[in-house]
Amino acid sequence: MFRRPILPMIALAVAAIATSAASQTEDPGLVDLKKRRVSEGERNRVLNDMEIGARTFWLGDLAGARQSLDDAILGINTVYANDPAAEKARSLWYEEGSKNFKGEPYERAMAFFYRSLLFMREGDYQNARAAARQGLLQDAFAEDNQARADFALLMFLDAWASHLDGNADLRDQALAELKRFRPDFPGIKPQDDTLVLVETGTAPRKLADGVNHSYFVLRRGKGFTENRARVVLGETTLPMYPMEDVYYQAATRGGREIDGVLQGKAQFRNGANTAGSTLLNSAVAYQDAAGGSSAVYVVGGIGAMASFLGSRAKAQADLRSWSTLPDTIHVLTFSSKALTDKDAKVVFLQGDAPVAGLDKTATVQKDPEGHFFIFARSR
Amino acid sequence: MTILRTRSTKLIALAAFGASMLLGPAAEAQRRNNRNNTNGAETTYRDVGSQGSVGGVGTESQDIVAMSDAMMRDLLSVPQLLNRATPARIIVDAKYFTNESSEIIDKSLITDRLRVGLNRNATGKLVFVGRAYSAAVEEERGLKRDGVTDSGTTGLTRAQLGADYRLVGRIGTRDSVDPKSGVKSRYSMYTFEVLDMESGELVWSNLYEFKKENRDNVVYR
Repeated sequence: MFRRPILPMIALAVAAIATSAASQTEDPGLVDLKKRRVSEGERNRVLNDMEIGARTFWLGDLAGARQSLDDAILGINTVYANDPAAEKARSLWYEEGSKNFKGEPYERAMAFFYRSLLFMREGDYQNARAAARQGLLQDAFAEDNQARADFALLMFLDAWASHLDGNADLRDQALAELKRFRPDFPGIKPQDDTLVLVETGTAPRKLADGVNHSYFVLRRGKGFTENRARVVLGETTLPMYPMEDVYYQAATRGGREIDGVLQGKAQFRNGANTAGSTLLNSAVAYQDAAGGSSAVYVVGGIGAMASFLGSRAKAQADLRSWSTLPDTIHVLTFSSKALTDKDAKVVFLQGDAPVAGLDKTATVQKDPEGHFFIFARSR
Repeated sequence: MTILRTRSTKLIALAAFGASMLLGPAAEAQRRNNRNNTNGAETTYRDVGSQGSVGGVGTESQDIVAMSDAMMRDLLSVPQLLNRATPARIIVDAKYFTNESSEIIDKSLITDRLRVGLNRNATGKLVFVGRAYSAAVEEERGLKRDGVTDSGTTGLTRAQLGADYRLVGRIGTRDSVDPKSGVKSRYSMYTFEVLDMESGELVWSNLYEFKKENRDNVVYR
């Protein structure tokens, strides 16, 4: 007699109910991202880890953010020397998006940015500095010399981590480097022990362009007007310094090596299509005029094959992008003596005018070493 | 005869066309099957001192094993530390082993391995002070002295052990990137020193250095 495995079924049912109950309390966007992480597999693993990492960070789940960002960084640091998926992306028959996602330099740098913040929250300032430096290295792949390794935000984090670690030499070195790119930044005062970091706007967008969409252009995010921020601490209002324009970082990367490969694919596609059409048209015209012959069929066959091959060549550039990144990141440091409450109010501005409905109240967080952090984002 | 030849030519052209449609995907399917990771791979143990199949320009297990072994052997040959009537007390932990590099690393992996190796090989010629656990020691001492517990079997001491020496050091890196070729290079230098905790004298110094390079696939450049 067939016996049903009752206990495993009950266990599964209980697990399903528990999962369902947990999901109900989770952020719906996060639940969706976690599902995507499973269903989209290795190809989008880094992208989904980036999205989940940033989302969990802003939801205050620092352990979850750490896990996702560590996984993302593992993927970013993976060297695809002989990877089949990478080879596929170079082949004529697959688009660039078939490769495992690692992101453009600005996206990779931002993964290290969030990881650096997490290390700081844990009081591990030395690894926070290391993460900021690794992020800066990602930006070193910019083609344009002037835009290479100019991620001022990461230089600032390098300096701030060294400051919190009590290493004034390294702090001053990083600040001197930062001064080259942000000469008006007021710097870090010796007594500063509180960092306010605020994000405004939405992520840069990758838009397909060119013949066969063989490259992309970057455009500023849409749907926001705020570009400045202020922090209100009791009766005191402090302006924040706009340290980094993420869109600028994305847009000044310059040409990519892969663009040459994609242009080659586009040329092949167009050439094969043109040659195929010409041969087929010639064959048809010759057949109409002179009747069928072996040469006509051979030419027609080659033309059809060329058209077929041309139609199968995939020259599209990879448009996947980290959608939850901000447009601009603002910073402010001061002594915790200025803190008057367990919360701080953040006001978002367009120029000098507050943007209605965006004010946020952010909790003052304290790390294990007794330093303070206030994080907020407009959207 | 002409009709037959024309038909056969038609057939050849159609066959060539058909073959191109069929063989392309078939060849790709075969190529996919030939990939060495199609079916995944079972978990296998690897020698911690060997280079794994996944590598980067950062510090890996073989580097940690090699540097901690090298430092341990060198430290065990320092007369000032080892040839004393009363064994020297030393702290070997990560607290003053600073990471000033661009590498995210758990420093304790290095200092723990060094301490364990030294402790097992010093055969009583060095006393290792667990300063990182001083809070745990203090808690137990309090319980004993408050009479919550008895005094144990090793007796009471006036205070926790003071250290004669401490391991200090620094991790530094120098990175370079060639955006054209995609080559990434990192020079890493680990400095190890033993500091006299009374005079400040550095009684021993050594370093471990290596340089690694790699280059990512063109699709990521």
